[in-house]
Amino acid sequence: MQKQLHLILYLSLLFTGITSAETIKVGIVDYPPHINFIKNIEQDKAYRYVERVLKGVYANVSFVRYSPEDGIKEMEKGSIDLLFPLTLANNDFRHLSKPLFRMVPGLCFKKENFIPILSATKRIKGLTIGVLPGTPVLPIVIAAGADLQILSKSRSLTQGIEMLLEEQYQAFYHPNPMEVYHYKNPLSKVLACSKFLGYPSGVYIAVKEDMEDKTYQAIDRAFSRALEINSYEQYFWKSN
Amino acid sequence: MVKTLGLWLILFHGICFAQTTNPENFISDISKIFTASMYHIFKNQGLINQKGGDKSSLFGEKFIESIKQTYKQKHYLEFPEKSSRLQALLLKTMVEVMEESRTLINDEALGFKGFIPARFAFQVSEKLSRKGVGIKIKFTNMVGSVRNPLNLPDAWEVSAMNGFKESKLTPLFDDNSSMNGIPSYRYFLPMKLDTFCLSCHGVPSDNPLNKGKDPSEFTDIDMTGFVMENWTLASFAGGLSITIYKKDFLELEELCKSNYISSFTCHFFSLE
Repeated sequence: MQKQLHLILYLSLLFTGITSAETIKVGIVDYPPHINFIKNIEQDKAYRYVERVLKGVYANVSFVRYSPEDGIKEMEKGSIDLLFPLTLANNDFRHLSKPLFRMVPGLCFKKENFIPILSATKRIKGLTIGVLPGTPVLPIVIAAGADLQILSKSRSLTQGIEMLLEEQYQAFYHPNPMEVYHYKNPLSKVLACSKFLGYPSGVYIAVKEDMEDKTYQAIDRAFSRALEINSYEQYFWKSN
Repeated sequence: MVKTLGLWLILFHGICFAQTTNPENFISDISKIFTASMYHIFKNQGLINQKGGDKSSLFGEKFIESIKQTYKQKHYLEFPEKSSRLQALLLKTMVEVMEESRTLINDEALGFKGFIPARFAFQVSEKLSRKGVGIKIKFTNMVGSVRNPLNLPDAWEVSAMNGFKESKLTPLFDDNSSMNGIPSYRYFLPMKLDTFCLSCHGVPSDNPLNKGKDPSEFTDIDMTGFVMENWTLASFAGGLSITIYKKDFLELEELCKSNYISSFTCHFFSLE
């Protein structure tokens, strides 16, 4: 893991050419498991990756925790330079050209009900699927005739999974199920998840609107190169 | 220090030289690596779907070595000795897909895991396109014969397949084409059906789920949940379509000429 981090740092230095003496202020929002405010975020993979790449450009990188709403307000005011991780709808904010990572939605099942290939949509027809309110459901799931059960507003992802295990529905729609179905997660002993391959959405690092083009390009180039050579996803899975 | 620098320069020169090969040979090599990997995934369905056991050969360096062996067996050729950046990236991407599927593959509670060659191929193609390296790989067939609508053919692929239906199954290389308006090399490798393909794409009697059953009780739904196509070994099975943007094919050569540090670093990390 240490080697990978050094590679990222080395690369960002190499491709930006210079390290600015300035400080960059980065807003950070809760985004488990990539950024988990309950734990020490300095150990989180997304934090470490972003910090290392930025340290190839800036001498000082300062992180500030926000709720997504407050983070966006601060970025709009210009008091922070970057904000991440953010799932952007309709390109609502200026952001780096490449997503930090992509999420692929899917379904989680109790193992005995596992459906491995979700493009075989006939298997989804009539399936009761729990969905958290506000979660955009892929049109193919709706078209397949699934019985979507929208949970009450107070429910969290964790509670949604618990309800699946209590068999209140047959499947649970997860925006990024591989975060749950991972061998380091104890839940992977009792459930299994499949992805809707081909339907990824990007999670980005947003940039304040009035950032100078030269600054934007330096940061964007550092991240683009780092992501091309050792993607965050690769780093996340390997070091997890 | 001098020795190390010398070694790096040799490696650097070798990779640059490898990239300047004929585009048709290059794209053909990519198709061979890809088909070998899919064949390897098929051969290992028993291991993948096994509950428990040592599956370490499906990951990391061991997986790459296995693909190289399968390449030799399948194509009666040595694996390309000097891998280009794209070839190295392809192998690296395959390893990444296996790594991301580790939890599924090692899930001791699941039998059939659905990690079939088509699924592996789809994930590799998707990952490659995300990396923005200008290579697109897709399994496609005529409209009506494609299971996943995301694999529907474009006009060039339809035209290529129409040609194959009337002639021999030899690969088609087109160096005067485009994709999304970008000048591209395009290649289509028609796929020949093998006996193992029929367990999903054949007639109900080929379906392992029907084994031991009376024909009146046969299902025409295969293990993956799709309706079987009733194909035979003589049926047209579509093929592998590969597109490489010309600018990306040339990128390495130009980088070698214009910017030694970045191209060297790029190769170095692609090959790590």
